[in-house]
Amino acid sequence: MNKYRRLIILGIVLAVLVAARFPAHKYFRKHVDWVTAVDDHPLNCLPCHLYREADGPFSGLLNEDYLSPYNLTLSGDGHSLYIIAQDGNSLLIADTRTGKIISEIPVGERPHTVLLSKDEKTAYVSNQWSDYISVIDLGTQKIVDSLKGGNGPAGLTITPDGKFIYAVNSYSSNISVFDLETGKEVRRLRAGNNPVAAGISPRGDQVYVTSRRTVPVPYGDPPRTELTVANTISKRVDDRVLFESAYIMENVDVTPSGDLAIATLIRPKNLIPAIQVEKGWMMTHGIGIIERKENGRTIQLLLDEPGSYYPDPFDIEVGPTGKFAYVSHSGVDAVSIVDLDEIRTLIAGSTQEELDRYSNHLGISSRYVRGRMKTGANPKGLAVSPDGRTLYVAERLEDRVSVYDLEKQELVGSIDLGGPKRISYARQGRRVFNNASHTFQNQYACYTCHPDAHEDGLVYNMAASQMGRNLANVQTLRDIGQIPPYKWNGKNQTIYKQDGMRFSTVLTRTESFSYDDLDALVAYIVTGIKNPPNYRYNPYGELTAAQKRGKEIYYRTHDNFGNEIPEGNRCYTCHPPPYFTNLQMVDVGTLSETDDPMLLDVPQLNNIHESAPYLHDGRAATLEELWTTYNDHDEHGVGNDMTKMQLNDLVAYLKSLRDASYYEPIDPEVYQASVGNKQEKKNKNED
Amino acid sequence: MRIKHTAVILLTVLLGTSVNASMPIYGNWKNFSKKNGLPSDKINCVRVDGDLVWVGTGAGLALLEDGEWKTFGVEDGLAHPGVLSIDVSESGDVWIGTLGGLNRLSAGHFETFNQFNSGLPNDVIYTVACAGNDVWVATGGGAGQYDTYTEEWGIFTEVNAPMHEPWTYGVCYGDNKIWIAAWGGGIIEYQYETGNFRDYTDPDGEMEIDLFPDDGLVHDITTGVSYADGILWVATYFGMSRYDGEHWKGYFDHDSGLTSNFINFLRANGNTVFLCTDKGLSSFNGETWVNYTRNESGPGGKITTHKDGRVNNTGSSTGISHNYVLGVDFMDDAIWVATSEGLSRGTRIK
Amino acid sequence: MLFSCGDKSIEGLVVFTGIPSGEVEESLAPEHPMTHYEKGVLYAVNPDDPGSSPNMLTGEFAAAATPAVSHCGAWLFFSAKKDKGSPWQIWRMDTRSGKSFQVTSFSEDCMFPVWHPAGRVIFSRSQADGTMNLYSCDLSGENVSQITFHPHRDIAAGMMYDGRILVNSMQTHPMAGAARFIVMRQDGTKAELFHQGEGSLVPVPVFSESTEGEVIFIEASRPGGLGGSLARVHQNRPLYTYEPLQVSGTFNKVLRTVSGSYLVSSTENGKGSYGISLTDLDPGVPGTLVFRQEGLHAIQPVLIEARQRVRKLPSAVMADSETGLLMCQDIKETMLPPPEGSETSTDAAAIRIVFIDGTTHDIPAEADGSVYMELTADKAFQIYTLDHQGNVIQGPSSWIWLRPNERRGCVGCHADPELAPHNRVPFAVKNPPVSVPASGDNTREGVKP
Repeated sequence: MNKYRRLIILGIVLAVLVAARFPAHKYFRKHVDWVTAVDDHPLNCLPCHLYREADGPFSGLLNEDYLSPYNLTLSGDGHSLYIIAQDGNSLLIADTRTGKIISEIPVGERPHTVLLSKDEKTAYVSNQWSDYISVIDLGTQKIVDSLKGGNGPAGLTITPDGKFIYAVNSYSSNISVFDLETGKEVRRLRAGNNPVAAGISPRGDQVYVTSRRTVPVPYGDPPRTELTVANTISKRVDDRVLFESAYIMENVDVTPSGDLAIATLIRPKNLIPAIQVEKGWMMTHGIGIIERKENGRTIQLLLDEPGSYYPDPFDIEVGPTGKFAYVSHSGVDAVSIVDLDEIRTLIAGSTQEELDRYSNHLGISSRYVRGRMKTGANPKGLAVSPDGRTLYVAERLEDRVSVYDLEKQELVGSIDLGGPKRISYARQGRRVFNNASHTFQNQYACYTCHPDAHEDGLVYNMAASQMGRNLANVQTLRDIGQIPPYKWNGKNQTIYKQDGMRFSTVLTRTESFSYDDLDALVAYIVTGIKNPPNYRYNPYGELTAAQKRGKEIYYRTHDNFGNEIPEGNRCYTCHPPPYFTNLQMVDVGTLSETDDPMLLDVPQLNNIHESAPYLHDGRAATLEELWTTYNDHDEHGVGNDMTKMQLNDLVAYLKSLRDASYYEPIDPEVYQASVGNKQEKKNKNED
Repeated sequence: MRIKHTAVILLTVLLGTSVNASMPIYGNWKNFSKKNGLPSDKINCVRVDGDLVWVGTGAGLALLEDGEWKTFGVEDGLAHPGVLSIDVSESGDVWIGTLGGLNRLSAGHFETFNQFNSGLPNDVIYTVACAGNDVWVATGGGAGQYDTYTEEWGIFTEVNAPMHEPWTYGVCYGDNKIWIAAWGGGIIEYQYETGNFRDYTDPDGEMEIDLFPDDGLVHDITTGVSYADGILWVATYFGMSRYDGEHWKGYFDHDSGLTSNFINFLRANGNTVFLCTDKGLSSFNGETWVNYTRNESGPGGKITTHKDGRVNNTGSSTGISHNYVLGVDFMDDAIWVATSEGLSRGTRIK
Repeated sequence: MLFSCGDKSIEGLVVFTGIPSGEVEESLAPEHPMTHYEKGVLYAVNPDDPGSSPNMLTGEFAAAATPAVSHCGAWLFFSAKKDKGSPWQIWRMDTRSGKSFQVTSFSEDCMFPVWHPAGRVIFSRSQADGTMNLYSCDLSGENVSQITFHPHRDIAAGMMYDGRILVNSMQTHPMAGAARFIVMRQDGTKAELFHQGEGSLVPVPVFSESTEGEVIFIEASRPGGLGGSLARVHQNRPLYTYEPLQVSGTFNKVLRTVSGSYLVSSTENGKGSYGISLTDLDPGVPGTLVFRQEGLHAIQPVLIEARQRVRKLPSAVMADSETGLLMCQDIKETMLPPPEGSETSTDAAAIRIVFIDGTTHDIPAEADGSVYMELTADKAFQIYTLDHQGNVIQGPSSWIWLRPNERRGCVGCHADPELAPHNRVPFAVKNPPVSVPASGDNTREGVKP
């Protein structure tokens, strides 16, 4: 940006500030009051009109390109630390002896996990948003090949013989088995819902794959989340261990002796009226354990304490002796030290009934949590040195890896990844979003119900009026800056209001965000949350035949019998591109007996395939059910005339919808004319 | 025991002189019913997966594992107690077609697809067949193709495929093709390579008789289809057709060894096809017929061979459970037969 | 009304209550032993100049006691009697100017001020019947709001970092109960037990919380003395982490300072005058003496300094509401053994609500043990569990109250306090709540020993 241009910008800013201070103060005050829904927010134009710039002239000045370390892997000798830079789209290699980054290798978009070959000459990096695995020759530090399996590759593990990689496909919910001799995918196994990480038993006979979202359960049942156990001999699934009332199982590790497989998890309380936070009434966090033996049990134990919670457990690493495990808590910037021998004793001496009780016991952690180590912002991946004395922690929102002495439980150093030192407004907001300190007793963060700033697939009883009424399906936060109002009932005209005082009264139940934090949080939500590419259903914008047919149905004006569909009952009327919402409040006949009378905010449809269940209360488990089960009277669009094939086509089209940046607004009249002239391609939609 | 053993040896000697050397002969039948732990005596289908035997009955699903029967019902997640078809994917997922939807049973956990919660064409599923990462179903509302990778459904009916009506009865996979037995529409072939359909029908179009022999399918009302070793076998209620890629040939009970024209199901194993009829189980390798029937009275059964016009009947001290046969599958040297009154297991005696 | 102590700033000084040591037993305020002395005077002393003479701050009052400091260090609160015959009231002093302002003006005693992070002050207000409930008001004494509503003597010990009020609470009706710590949100909602005293030990209303969550407080072996021994619990698990501190001396006050050391008022072996020192509470390391003077007990010290403000908790209380909601997930869930000879607690089929005015309601539980009720707010009640025949299995509970529009849940009746709820929809919330009104009068018919 040249100097002249900067001066113009500065001049504009100064002019606005002067205007706000003097002649237009009243107007600005009124405007800010409306936006923030309070009357004491500082009269500051910048948070909304400058820091929320996702692109444009200011964004380059205001925002930074951070690295965001995510997952870690150590070389066998402990001298090389391989660091996934999630936002930097690169693999960083650090020398642990000097604490310096020695190389950076660009990879695909949104890398997730790095895995070393057995001879450590090759690194494999899963690129979650690019849909392939980079194969890197560590000698030349060049990408030499790629492995293509399912969608959203995330966790990786390798068999002890070094011949097969098991890659977890987080978006297509399966596991690709790659033969490294041929580089081909030889098997694809179904995993849990939104699987993310893999761990392998010491003998290499079984691979454990975590998942984050519940498997389909009857409406109103607690979530059940699968830990998939794949057999590396048969290359089939041995078991699907369901963890009752748990979800968001991020990572898993198996003890060196192979007696326990342990995964992090969250135990939500979504079915209980959200009337208090005290006593673990909203969220609890812990680990899930599988006893790896005949008739072994499945156990859940909390890492929380009655007056203090340790939300968003992410990584778990078992030390080389198998006596301790380390768990990073992304929501409270801490690592827990877990005494596994004590857990073994506890399990061995407990009946199943007692263990079931412990799964909800907030005090039991005092038996096996041996310490908590404070970390920098948003700790994610962990790595333990081969001698078990050192722990490396990827501090995602610090652009730093911290180094801890595990005997002293002390921070002894850090590895600066070389990212920007300035914390941008959006970055500060992302820290606020990920940190649970804004919730009473740190019980949960925004991230907890909105993992990856999306949604967690659960329906909560927010008990806005009476307990048991007005169930709410969690909504995504991806790219919502332009689509007010917010909440299903549309009561919040801005994100400021959504996250303001009432938010703290009914949800976080502690002091509301400071205005500085609130400004930053809004800046992050508006600018920093994007939809992942829709590689699964629409990778390149070329619709399939079924999707094209579905699009015709989506934009149809007449039903199968030739009757004109009233304008208000056509799909595109309420769901026009680019966000596929008209931002209006409607009644489409979907309120249930437990709902108070209200209108509903028309939801956006971008990447809708990732947002099951559907409807404001999550009654529809699939898109199909919207029309097969919950649209008896054609109030939610005319659909009862559709054949099953047409419905499948419509669903195929809906699943193809991707980020709003691929679409342009549509003028119904122009569109109608184009349809009449069979010129459907007039607007910029895919095909 | 000694008598039984002697009978088997004698049977082997007798049959060995008259049938094709590659034609397997099964005997030493052991029958299973509710008394053995099956949920019902009405056995609709049987499918072998390695050492496991999956059995679909009128009252649930059963699994024989390590000599023990396990049963699964609606309470376990089965979509409907009436199980009509089972197939197992390479990855070990068991796909179960029922009268009320489709199940995927994977590592002990059921998942249900029905016409309300998914793109499944219809809840009445006559046949399910795994084809790579696809699962195909023949249903009362068309054929369905489920891509297990993308979780998308395709439906094929008379609207978008050369069918006579949406009702489909059988489906099978082989050589990168799908064959669908479509009621009144003959056989529909789908080529993965091109994405195109074509149909095979009875050229004479006669519903009562096969007017011109070997001109194509023997009848347009097809009930089953199976492909192996380059041969397509088609079952109808009016006889069987065999297609080698160039020529069709029809087989009837009056001019071949086929035990009955009323064929419920068929499955090819190598060069031999096994036909489940209302009058017993037939097998045929293109030259020789071997039929298995149960004695109308008494405990034993009969093996009938047809070759080159010669017929040989051999009695056996054991026989299949019932002559109304609905399904068949193979396990090494054993054969499993589903009948309307029990499940039978025979072992290869030649 | 305004008093001045010479317009001298007291920032950075230690303020304490001084009482003549020879007249302690005779001169203690009879209703408020240990804390309020009829001849008490507030003094200020410089901790960096241990030998200096204390500066009298409240010479114009007949008595003063229990100084407390706002988080910003700008205000010193204390309870004081302007005249000997007048009631104790809350006062505040500008720590920069030394000017004092009267905050409360009730006919009853108002004592034990604690700074409220929303710019208010919490205090205890005596009732004629001997109870003492918590109230809060703004700095001008306006907008008075009652916080606790049970027949107890409540003394706010201080604010915890999570924003809750820690209260020393002792039941007064229908009979005197043991002193214990309870904790509640700033609006009086979600009150629950924090720490039950061990045996005859009485937790006294002073405590100090470290940023690591360690809560140190003083226990007396008998009520009425000036001091006791130190003990601690961890705020994250207070019911199970009680531990006596092995620090010699008898303590009247312990206060963690911003620097991390503790400001204490203590005397060795209970003999001699109480003096003030700064210590790390390490048994092997002597503290630094701040003030000690024979003939004068220097008690209740505070350091005038700014410190981290505790959180302002949002309030769910709505003044226009007259009821609160209570939902119990499973009344059969209890950690108490059933009374000898009675049915097991798992047979609980209903609960009985007995308001303090005697109004009684029996509410049957749903099949899953859940109950959902709408009760009159700001009215104390007790709960019993009943079997299928209506016989009492357990009860009565401690006194409970709901604030207007408070919505409160519990896992069970006398359930393990560390048990989080099962994640399942309680059957009871599928229907509107059962209405459980009190009679509306203020009698205590329901209070039976």
